[in-house]
Amino acid sequence: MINIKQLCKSFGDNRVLNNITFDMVEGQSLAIVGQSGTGKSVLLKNMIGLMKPDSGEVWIDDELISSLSFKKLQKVRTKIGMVFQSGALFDSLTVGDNIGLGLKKLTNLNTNEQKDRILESLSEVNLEGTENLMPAELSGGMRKRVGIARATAIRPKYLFYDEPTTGLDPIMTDIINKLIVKFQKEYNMTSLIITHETRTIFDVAEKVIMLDNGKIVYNGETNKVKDSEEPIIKRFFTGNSEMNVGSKL
Amino acid sequence: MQRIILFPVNFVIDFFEGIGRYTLLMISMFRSIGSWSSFFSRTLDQMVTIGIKSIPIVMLTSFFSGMVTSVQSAYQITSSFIPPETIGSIVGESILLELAPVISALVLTGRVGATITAEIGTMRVTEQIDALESLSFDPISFLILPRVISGIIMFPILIIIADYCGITGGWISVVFDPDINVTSFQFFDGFKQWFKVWDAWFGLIKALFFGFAITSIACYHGYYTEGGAAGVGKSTTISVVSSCVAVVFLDYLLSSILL
Repeated sequence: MINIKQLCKSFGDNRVLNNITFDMVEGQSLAIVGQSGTGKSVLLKNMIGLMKPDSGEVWIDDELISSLSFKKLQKVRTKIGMVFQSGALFDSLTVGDNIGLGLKKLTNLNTNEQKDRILESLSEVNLEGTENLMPAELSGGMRKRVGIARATAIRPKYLFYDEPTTGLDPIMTDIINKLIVKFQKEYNMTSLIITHETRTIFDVAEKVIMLDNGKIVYNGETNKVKDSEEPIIKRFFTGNSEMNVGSKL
Repeated sequence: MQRIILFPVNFVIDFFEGIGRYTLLMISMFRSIGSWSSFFSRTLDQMVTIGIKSIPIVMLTSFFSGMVTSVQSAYQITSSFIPPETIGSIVGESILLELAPVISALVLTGRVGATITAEIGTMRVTEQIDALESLSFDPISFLILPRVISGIIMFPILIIIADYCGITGGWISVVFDPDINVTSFQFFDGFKQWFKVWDAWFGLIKALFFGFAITSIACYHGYYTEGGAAGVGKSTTISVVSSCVAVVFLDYLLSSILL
């Protein structure tokens, strides 16, 4: 269970997160959506302790993230897999070593089991035979899939995706969306997807939270978000930049 | 106008803020020193990158430094009252005390320091450092500690090589330059007369400090890089400039304390 309570974060005078409060139930897939620059990635980084909030609390399985020492935070992070926007693969390591790094550190698997898990993870994302390639030899979509394989190889309880389909072609977007659903269903991983791709939202998320100017403007079921009469939400989901949203335009 | 007036104030604030952040980073690094054995293989990799791969450039620069010292010493010694062996002593002392450690350090600032900053800086802007943290690694002990340890170990070894190459360069110059009327025997006789073991040790102590300063400053600037590719370029430039300043400052400080 993840609980976010009255989370606030500012950079200088710019308040990026303003009193964010929500809960995430185990096994759920939740999409956090909003326009670029509304604080989605900042929220995610606060949730895994890569940033400290100015005020408010992040609780993961009854552990208050912002108050943990580095060692205790490391322990909590063993429950979390993180897929980064650009893949964030380590340039100096092969694809196999990228996946193996987390396995060595976070699991008790022996060397042979680690090798098997690397191959299994790559096969799950349809990248068999790429374990000896360097990240520079991969396309954008392949890098994202290796990023997913690296995050899921440790079989985390929670899986966080930061813009998993941004910049990809529609076919690759569909492949990644199906992978997200597959991991959630097969391993019962609780998925948090940060995105502004409406297709991804409807394909993978059961619940949606929409952020605007650092505040939550929608928190509810995915299939009801399109019925919302709120102008900001309507504008986002229709993708119409000229739609009048009152004083904000 | 206000920006021009505030520039020196902001510069001083930024400078001391930087010193503070650097100190905190070094404290975190020293705290994680107990875990160095888990990164032993990474330290060995860095020793190869920082040390072994720098040997050719260090040999080349110190060899020519020695040659230039011989030629310029001979050019300045015009009086017949000064014995010809003096050139050997000048080359030896200059190389051991100053030229080998300082010129090598300045060259390594570009060769090693710039590489470290660009590598770690790129890792920062492409979220690789965040990815390390998300996999429960401590990026300071994973990225910074192996590089600084390698610098501390390999710089003195490189300076020993630079000492040999510099003195050999000086001697080669004496042998092959027809304008220098000094024999090989006179060159080495002069070198031996003025050689003090402490001078060689002093060069190695300087190398140790330079190794720490160059690698730690480079890691610091890389670790706090922000702003994409342009940010990496900016950090690398600042890293090289501040490392060069640190080398000449430490050179003066250690000379005034230890000599």
